[in-house]
Amino acid sequence: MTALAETPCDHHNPFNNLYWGDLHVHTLYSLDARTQDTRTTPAQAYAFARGARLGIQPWRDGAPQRHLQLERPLDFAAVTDHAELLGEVALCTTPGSFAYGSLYCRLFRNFPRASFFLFNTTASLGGRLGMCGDDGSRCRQAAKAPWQDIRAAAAAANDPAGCSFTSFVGYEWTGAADNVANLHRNVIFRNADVPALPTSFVDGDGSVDSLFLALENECLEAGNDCDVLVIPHNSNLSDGFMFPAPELGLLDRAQAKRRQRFENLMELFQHKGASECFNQAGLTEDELCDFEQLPYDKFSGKFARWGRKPPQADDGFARTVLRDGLAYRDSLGANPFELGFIGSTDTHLGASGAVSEEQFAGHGGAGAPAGEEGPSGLVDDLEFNPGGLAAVWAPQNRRDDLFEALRRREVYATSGPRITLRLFAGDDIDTSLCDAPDFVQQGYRQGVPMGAVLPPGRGLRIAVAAAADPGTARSPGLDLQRLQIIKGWVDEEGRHRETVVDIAGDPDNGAGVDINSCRTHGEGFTQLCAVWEDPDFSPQAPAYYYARAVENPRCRWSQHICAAKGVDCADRATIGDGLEACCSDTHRPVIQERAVSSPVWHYPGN
Amino acid sequence: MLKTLNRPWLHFLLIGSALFLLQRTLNPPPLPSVGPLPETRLESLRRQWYVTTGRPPNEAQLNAMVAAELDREILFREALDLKIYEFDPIVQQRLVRNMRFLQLDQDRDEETLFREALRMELHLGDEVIKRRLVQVMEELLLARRPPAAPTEDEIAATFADRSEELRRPPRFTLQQVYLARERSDEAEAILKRIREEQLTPEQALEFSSPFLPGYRFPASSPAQLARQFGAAFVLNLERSDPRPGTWVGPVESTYGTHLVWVDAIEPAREATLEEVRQQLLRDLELEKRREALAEALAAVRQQYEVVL
Repeated sequence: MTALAETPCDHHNPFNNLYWGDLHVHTLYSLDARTQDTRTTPAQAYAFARGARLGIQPWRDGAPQRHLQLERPLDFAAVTDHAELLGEVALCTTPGSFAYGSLYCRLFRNFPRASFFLFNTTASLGGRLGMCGDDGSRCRQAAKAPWQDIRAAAAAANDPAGCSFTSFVGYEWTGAADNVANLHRNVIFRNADVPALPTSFVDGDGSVDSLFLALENECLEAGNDCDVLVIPHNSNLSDGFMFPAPELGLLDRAQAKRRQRFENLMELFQHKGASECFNQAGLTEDELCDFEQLPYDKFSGKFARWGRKPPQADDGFARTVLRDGLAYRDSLGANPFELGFIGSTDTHLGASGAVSEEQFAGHGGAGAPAGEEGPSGLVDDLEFNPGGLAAVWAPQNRRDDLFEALRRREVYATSGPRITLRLFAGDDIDTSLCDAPDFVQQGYRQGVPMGAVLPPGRGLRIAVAAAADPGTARSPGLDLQRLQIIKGWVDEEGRHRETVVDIAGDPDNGAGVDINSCRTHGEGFTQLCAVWEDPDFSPQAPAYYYARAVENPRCRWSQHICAAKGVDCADRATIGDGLEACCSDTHRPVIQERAVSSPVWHYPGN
Repeated sequence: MLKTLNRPWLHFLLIGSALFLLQRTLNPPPLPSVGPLPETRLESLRRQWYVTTGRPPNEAQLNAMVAAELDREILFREALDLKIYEFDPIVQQRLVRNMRFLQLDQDRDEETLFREALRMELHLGDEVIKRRLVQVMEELLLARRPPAAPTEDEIAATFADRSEELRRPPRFTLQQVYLARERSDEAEAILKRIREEQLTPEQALEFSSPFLPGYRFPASSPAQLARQFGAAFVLNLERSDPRPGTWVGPVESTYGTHLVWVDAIEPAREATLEEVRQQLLRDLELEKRREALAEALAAVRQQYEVVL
């Protein structure tokens, strides 16, 4: 390993290359995937990420009836199955552990004897003595297999010598607050030094702190090279509990610092909606926030009408969370929510990085795409989407390099397209930086990149450059429509303020899409660049800034299906069986995909 | 002793047993039967096919689905016979959750809830539990009949079969000068000047518009180039007969016009076995697993009378 670390990759670039990946992928080891007949193994999920064809349900005589293949392979991925199903055995065999005495474990400890009984007394299976070994060890080993398989698959897919692909070992910690609001987080390890078993929700007292404490003990202080990041997701479904607001008084200084240590990122786009912002009069007035929003604020809202309420801006959307982070820093001296942004899929088909709107096969997260009976002509529930990607600026495609970039937040989220986005900020940014062929080199010299905390300054300029997704020969990319800066700050009276500024491009460029054919028309911009100076910058006012590059309009995945099936909402006769959702009030046939940079932060006196 | 042998009751017993065995041999007891599927289940299979493929299934497709469904039914019954549900943590969790969802928990502990759920036979009608039990049965079948490891001969055969698919792409090492869309008519003149003054790619950069992905692209496959420049660029580049140590262009892309300096070209080639061994092994193992499971399932099917 040491020799390898000293030999740079062919593509090594001190000014960072762009790498695309998916850090939220479920395989057959996740019960909710398995119960939808997903049979993708971790090794297959990685092979799919690297460009291999993947068979998916429905299955017939053991053969898949549908296939998926990425037109553009990913550079990195992490399989993140639910920990709850990976670690039962150690939990159950460790006296004194939280779950040792539970019914769950008492039965589990019976498993070796039980399987001995099962295998030796049943004629139809034929007798075979000692299946589990005399002491049951073989059966216990078998139950540990998923976590070992996940680690082995990651090790096999990782290519540090050729630098063609990076895998990360990870899992999903599936916690929930008392009111079933979502607290889910993905745990991503830096390298092959990982705990013997993943910490699951039932191992601790269920709080996020118990997860952090376990990771401190079993990873950071394990005496090896273990290192870890925790990435919360779907705060849009957390009813505000994922990132508790200061007025709830739930975080003290130690907890805030612990969050800062583990949580540098949040998942902004994924299958179950966008968590960037919520368009709400008086708080966030931004029509572009009306994008992949769910009609409920926690997941139980999908299934039960009682207790269901529409989301609010303070339910855990990034803008509010970043704003609360500024307030915490003021009151506790530490910002627990210094969060950069990534996108991922949360696919439950093992189809990492399958984000195409045109070729969406459903992700089977909680919808009914993968063989559940559902009277829908759509491949997934209307409110879900193909998910997004994580874009990482790193010198080369190896674990340490990508992990460091994730930690310093030099990363961004896209809702699917591979839009290139770079940002440099500082008080000394050259106003003509966009004309420089060495924009990047000068950017690093004059300022800090996305994800950084700004050094003290008298003013602030931000240079943002974006390039449209070139797409592929089969599905060419769309031009960009405009480039924006979003600023959130606390003004002199202590009020929270938010502003969205168009800094380049043209919202009225005339480009659009015909929803009956889903053909796009009109041009936009293949590259956009601008240097913006904050006219209201105050050294005394804490603030965050991030950039957003927005594409021209295109058909949403659901409209691609509705249009292909000839649905015309003005003519009832065209609305076929199961296609009623095409014409429902909540259907948004047209979307504008986007890339959202990690923020930069300004703190007074920093 | 002899007296005992003369007892009529013993004769009855012996003759009776013999007759019983004879009858069992001539008329074996019927196998347990599975199927046919109820019409509602058939309808949901048709619908499921329609949802995932966009077309109704034809007769062969429907028959295959029915057969697969009956196989699941067989595995489910085997699992019930083995009482796997008693020992499976996922089934237990699910049943306890179902009881709570039905608000039948009344502060009772998990074990009581689990027993009560089994008594109410909630495990028989739950699709999640059914799938879980089918999965466990599949694992048990495979554990009894583990798939053989792929042999060297098999690896060599699949390597030969797939050589076309496994070919390694060419690699281009390029540098470039980029001209934004509105500057495309300057391209020819700039290229002429670069050639005449024999400028190095670094010197020629002064003519370039800013290009975010950069100006130097080492050992890049066509797919990697397409990621940076779009598919059209790669086509145009390949058409313009690139040779090492020359300038090529103007080459049009999604973004504008490019003048390309070719440092090196490594041509496409066959993969070596060592490069792709892991990939081949993985695919073969999967295939063997599938075959082993199908064979094991066929053996279990023999124990049932399947009514389509």
